[in-house]
Amino acid sequence: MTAIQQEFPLEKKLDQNLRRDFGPARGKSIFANYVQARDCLSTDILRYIVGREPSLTDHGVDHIRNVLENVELLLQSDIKELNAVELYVLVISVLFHDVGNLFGRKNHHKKIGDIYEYVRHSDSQFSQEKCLVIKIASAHTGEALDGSNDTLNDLQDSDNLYGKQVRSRTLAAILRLADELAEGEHRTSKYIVKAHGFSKESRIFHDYALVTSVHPDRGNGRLMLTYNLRLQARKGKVLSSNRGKFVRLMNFAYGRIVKLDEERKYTKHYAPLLEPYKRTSVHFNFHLDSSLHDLDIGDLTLSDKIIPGENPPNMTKLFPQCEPSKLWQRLSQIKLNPAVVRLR
Amino acid sequence: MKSFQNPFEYDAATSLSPDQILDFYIEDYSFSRFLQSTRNVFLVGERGSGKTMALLYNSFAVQVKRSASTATQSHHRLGIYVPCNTPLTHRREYELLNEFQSAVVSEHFLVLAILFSLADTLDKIPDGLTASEDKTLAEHYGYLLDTKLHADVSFFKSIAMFAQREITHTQQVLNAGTAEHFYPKALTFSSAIMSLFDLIRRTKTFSSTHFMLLIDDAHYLNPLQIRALNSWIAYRDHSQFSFKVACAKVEQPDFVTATGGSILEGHDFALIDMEQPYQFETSSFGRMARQIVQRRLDRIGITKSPDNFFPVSAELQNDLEKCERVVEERARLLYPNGPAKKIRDYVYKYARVEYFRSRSSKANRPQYSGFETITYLSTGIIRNLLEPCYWMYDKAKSLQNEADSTGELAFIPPTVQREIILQRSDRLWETVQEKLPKIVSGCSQIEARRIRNLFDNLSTLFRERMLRHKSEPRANSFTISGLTPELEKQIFPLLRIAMRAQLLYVRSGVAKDEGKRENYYVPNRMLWPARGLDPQGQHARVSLKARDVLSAAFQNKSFPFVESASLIPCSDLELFQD
Amino acid sequence: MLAEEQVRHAYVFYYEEFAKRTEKARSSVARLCSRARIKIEILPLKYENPVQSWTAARNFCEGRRTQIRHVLLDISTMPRDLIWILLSFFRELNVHGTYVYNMPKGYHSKWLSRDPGDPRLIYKLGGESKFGLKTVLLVVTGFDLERAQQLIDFFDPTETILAVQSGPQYDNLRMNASRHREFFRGSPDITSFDVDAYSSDHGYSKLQKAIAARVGNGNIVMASLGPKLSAMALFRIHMSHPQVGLTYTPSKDYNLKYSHGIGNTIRGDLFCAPSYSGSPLPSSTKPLVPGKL
Repeated sequence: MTAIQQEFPLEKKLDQNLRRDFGPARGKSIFANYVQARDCLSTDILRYIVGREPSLTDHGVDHIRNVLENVELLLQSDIKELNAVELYVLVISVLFHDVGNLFGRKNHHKKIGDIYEYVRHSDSQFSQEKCLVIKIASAHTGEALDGSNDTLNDLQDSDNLYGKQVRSRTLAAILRLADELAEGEHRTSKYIVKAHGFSKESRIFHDYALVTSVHPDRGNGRLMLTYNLRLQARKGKVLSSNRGKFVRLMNFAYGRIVKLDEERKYTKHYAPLLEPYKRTSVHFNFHLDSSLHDLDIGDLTLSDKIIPGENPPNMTKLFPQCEPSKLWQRLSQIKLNPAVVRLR
Repeated sequence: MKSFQNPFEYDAATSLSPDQILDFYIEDYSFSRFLQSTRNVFLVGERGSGKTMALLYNSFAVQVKRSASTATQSHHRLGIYVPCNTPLTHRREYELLNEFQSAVVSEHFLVLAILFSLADTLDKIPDGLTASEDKTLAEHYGYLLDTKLHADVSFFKSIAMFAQREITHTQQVLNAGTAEHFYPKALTFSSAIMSLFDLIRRTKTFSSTHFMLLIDDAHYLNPLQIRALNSWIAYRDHSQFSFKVACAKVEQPDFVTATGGSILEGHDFALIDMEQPYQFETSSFGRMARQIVQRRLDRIGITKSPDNFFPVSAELQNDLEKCERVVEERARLLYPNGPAKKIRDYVYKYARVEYFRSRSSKANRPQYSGFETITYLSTGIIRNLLEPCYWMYDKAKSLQNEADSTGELAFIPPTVQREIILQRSDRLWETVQEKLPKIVSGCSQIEARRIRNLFDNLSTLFRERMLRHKSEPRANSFTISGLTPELEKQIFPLLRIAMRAQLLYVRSGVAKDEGKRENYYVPNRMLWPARGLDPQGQHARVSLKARDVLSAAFQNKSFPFVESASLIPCSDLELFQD
Repeated sequence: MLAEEQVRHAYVFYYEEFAKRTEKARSSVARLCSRARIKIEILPLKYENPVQSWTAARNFCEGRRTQIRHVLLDISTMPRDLIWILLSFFRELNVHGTYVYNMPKGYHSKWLSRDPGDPRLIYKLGGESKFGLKTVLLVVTGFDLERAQQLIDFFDPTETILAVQSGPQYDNLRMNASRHREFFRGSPDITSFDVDAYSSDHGYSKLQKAIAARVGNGNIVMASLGPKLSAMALFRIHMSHPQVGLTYTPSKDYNLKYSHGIGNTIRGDLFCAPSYSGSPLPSSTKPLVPGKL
């Protein structure tokens, strides 16, 4: 049994909710569709991604399970706000979201269709589901229709499946954030990192995965990023030859922190269910050999808080077209028609 | 009434004066750097592991004495000691209220305790505030709390008086009548403490002070207070203040906050385990044990080292040396080409075993003695180190007084050491056999019987190993493998009771899988002398199957024993270094 | 006694967790009351739920305050926390009465109760503690050494006062007095003195003296582990010094045969003012306040 075939709470919830909303027989049948997709993907597709893209961090079965666990952690008891069909579509979308990596990393989010057809044996009863899944899974990365990165904007919250509402945009936002949170040791191999088995370009991603731990804390309204950097020491002092690697890793981490925080703000803009996450809390632990040291760098929290009067946004920078002199210029170009009714 | 001063007093740290704490305390850099940082810290360890001592050492009352002796004075870090084991913490009237009101009243009690300690401590700082700062703060703070503070005393004194008045008034309201009363003027952490910090940091003396709130015995707080405390740890940045929280390991509070979130070790706080493994004399606990005892001896003018003050019995020493020679010969036959290290390791592993194996079954129990043995017997707990030393000194001094009342005690005779060790070991077995349900709340007769079975069978297993095991005969700690949720449910409650009774300690060590850590269990080594076992165990841990542990406890079945079963490999001594 | 006291209505408390064990006794009481034409009400409490028990006791007292002119409180088999809770409600509601205690002929030689929980302060009787004062624990000792030690371990007092029951009754000198003295010998922060719960003031004057010397200098908590009558004395001390708290350690298991037979009967006024020095409590059978339940 693969990692995602082992039963876990989200699946139980899905099964229960489908039976609740559709009755025992129909609910069981829809749940069976999920199981079929899960089993087929885990045996035929997901575990071969690593063969196709050996230097990527893990995008296989364990990653999918991690994303599903993150969905649960992100929503906690508020998962009940999703109806059974939405939960079903979300979970199926998680299963499929990275399958395109089988055809290579580039634009992988757009290569789901063929695999979907294979998994569902080209059965037309799944066509509506296929549209939704492709839409939602595609929005987890890449470009939008307008060429920007605002992929969630292309979706709406007014779709449906089996006669029930499906808020695709909300689901896509949840998937996106859950995927962003799927980081950590489990996505890489300590041994291969040590043995320099990954490509040079991807090395930094694996080093980053080794030191990162992510945890969504809904009750306290935060995403928690904890970094454990282990540094070698000799004769009680840190090895100076590691300086370059350390600086690179720290700068990479800072970039990833900002990215995660941006994803947090971005996804919660579209998904009210993610509203509680008001901040990203970061902590660095530095281990010299096996002993932890505190560098007293203080609290690193990125939050949504804006204090009126402090660093207000500049309207003309945000909306250059509203620059007053430009507006005046445009107003000056307006020529009115001669017949004007003059008021007495 | 005794006429001599026993240098090994092991009184609770709260009974010691600041000077005594300064005298007795041995700073351990491995965790003192965290206590003195701005980081939130949880110190966990059972009774006697030194948590209170560590907090008190970092409190203002002790640090001010320390800086007086070193001629440095700074208020860069201020430790505010807040004890939680008081009758106030044990009040249960909050249980009569609804959930919200319970949480409010619970927080109010804790906030007042912190407020009093904070004010009482700051009041002791001479010239902390100027006259005008004093007046301004009193006005502002009084305004914030809507109260008129006492005008004839200093600002901090008036806060302490306010807290005292509030706690009395709160109790009177809660005690009154027959109805469940809520206290409507309850204070919160943000209204009373954070606002005070904000005001204090506007003054010259405290403008860059970091306040360390040293919360002791936090396991006595009620669940709502624990959640409030966790929330404060989660929510606030800790530049102005931080929490250093000491709690018992077994009754360690959970890390859930009032909003249903959680605080995370490594992120929100660092966790320090005060129970240090003692593997050999150069481990950090071994060094600390020496320093602690040396300092105690120095205090009463005894210049001897701990090893000389607690000498090994000559008879035991001779016997051990004989055994070392026998084992060395055996090693040379096994490894005729060496290397020398291999032979030394072999002798280290088997010399003591040879001693125990070669003793007649009719012989008396061994001559337990020597500072090394005493340190092993402590199982890494400071109080367990000091207590037997106390009684040894007491006995030796009494015997000496009977003979010659004016003489100084030169050393503790090995016979006295042995007597006390065996007495204490027998007493510990009494606890196992009879006393658990009386001393550990929540321990039923059935559970006590199961724990008795478990320890009896462990003792038998360790004895068998010592007499017959081929590779790691002196292992006297264990891990549990094959745990399922069902087995955990049955076994863990027994282990927790044993831990609360300090019959068992749980430690974290390197697992078989490189880099991973696992829990392992160390029975209190003071148990072994009564059974004629060697308390100086080896680094190895016996891996016990969960099913066997269950059978041993529930059905009193012996642990299966195989003469040459493998253990958690530990050929590298460095593996277990701290 | 029921006829003597002209009891009209009887209320029997029992713990649901021990319902089976106490069923026979309750039935006997019910038959007794039936024969004497006394109305009886049997009121369940929950041992594992102190809030529920407290609330049930409070509702009982408040619900009947206008009907009760005089209460006869039989504390013979009543747990101490319930004794104190009822006394506190009666006092608040201005209900007067008499307590009665039937001494057993003897106790079980091996055990009386076991599996203790954590000590706890009684609701609304926890005293008024202050910050910065040391904790003082006063224990009227019983046969169980470890219970006293458990209280000491739990409250971690700076000072412990052991009030040791005097007298040879029930093998007390061996089981209680000498064992406690031996066990705690040499502990510098433990003092002890003799007290007699079976005297007319149940040890009140000696206990009161010890407490009065320390009120204001410490946060004092009192426990009754010895004869049940000491619980009455401790309650009176609490009435005089509301700053002093009362604590109790519940046990999960009681020996059904923990005592046998009925010896002397001792009675007194529930709230008689504690001016006993020289004036022993009346031990007559008449209640002090006329009027019956």
